[in-house]
Amino acid sequence: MNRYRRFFLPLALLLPLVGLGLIWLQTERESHQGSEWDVPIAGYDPRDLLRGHYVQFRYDWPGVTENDIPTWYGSQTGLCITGKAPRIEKVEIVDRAEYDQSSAPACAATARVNPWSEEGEDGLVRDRIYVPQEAARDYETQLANPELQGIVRVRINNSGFLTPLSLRFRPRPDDIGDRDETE
Amino acid sequence: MSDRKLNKWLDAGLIDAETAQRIRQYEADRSRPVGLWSLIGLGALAIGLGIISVVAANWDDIPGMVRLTIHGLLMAGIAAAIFWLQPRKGFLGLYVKDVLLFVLAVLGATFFGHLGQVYQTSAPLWQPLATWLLLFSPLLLLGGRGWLISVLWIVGLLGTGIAHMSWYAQQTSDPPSIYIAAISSLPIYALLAAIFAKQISTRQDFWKQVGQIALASFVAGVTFKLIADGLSRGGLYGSEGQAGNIAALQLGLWSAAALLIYIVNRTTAGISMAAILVAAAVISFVSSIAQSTEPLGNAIMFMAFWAAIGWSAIYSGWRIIFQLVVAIIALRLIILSFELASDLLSSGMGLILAGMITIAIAVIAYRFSKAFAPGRAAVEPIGSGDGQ
Repeated sequence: MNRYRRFFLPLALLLPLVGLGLIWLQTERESHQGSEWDVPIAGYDPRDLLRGHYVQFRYDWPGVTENDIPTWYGSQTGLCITGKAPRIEKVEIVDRAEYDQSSAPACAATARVNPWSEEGEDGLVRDRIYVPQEAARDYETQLANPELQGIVRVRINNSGFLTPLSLRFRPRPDDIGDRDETE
Repeated sequence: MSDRKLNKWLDAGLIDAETAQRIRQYEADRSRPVGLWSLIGLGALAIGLGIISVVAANWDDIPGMVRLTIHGLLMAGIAAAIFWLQPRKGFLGLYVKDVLLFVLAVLGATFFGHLGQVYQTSAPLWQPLATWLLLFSPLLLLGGRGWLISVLWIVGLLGTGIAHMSWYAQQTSDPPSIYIAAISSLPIYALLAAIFAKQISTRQDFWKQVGQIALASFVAGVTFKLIADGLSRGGLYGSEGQAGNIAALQLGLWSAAALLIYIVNRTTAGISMAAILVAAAVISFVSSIAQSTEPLGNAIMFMAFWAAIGWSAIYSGWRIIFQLVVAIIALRLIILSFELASDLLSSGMGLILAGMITIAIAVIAYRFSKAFAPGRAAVEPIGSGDGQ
């Protein structure tokens, strides 16, 4: 019993504390990697924009039709983003085999399907962002307002996985072509 | 101790005045200040709830790093308290330490959600659960003493398995049979681990509980599967061919486990557990092959499995389990009578018939249970267990 107390119990007690600490450190480190981009969004179910503490939305990638966006982890395609972070100039669907090599088009960042996403493998199509509860009503009215365009700041990490960081709104341009002038 | 009962016995001449006085004296010496302790507990609970609501009300105003640091410090403090309490026996060493272990483990589980909230990251549920299991199993299994910890650990283990299975089923439309057979056998691994550990551990009661909960969850799982087999062809898995493959693999796995239990623990309880495993393996296999959605066939499979548990209960003298078995089989018979009379139910005649059968089954089950249940003397403290 004495040996148990001296040796095993401290180890068993330290294991979860050290383990969780390392996971925290790793999460902290990863949260600074990659680049940040502003992506326009659309609420994807007008009746159900706000669930509890998070907003669900669809990404409105400029110049890409939704059906072309990869929704399978094994998919060989990804989103090639050009521009200067955080401003997206153009988004193209590219072959992953291509951008893994040096002959790739000049992508500032490439996003690919994250199999661990809470949205399953639809993480490039739709996503969710957690918001403070007291701000929930504001977000709800702003999302429902047709004159406002929601913009989500996302981080694309070195693996090409997306993490939504924050949500803001700006007046919606008259048509897509005017997008850049309004900024 | 209630004086009312004592006075009743005194009046009935069952005990004399001197004995009553001695009983009163004995109980008075042994009595604990339950009222005081419950008030202290109530106060502690109120303080805890108050702290939680103060934190919750200001949740968004507290920076994430501060919150995570407080969360971590709280866990470190509880870990230190557990270390300090370890050598103690009695109330502090046994009960309070177990409660602290439980709180520490739950705080550890919520830490993952907290990290995800602060950093806006996400991962499939099985990943934090599996990490939690990895980090906390040594502590829970080395330090746990009571129900709180054994139940928590089994829930964590099965929760991880179920979360992984549902995630994996999403990833691949057609998970391999060997995977499903292996995951659905998780309670069996826990049962085997408990039987082995009980032989070498000084905390035999704890490992006995782990084994009991593992076996109970296994029996619940098989029962659920047998019910599902009757609802649609292919049962739980949806595909008839795969259901057969899975059941065949389980037949091998569970029989091997039964053999292992028989070799390691050749007591009456060990033999009873091995019998339950073999019965589950064979009956589940037959049920998956037969693919019978007929009420009668399905009910026979179900009752055969529970009859095997009933036999084990008689063999090992598990009185409460035996009574449970009789009640469940009686219930299944009653449901069967309604299933068979379903086309008669629209008429009053069918209802009368089903009602009469229900009453008859209830009476017979009661008498059967009284006549054949193992005696009270042979009863173990709590139900189905391993080892003697």
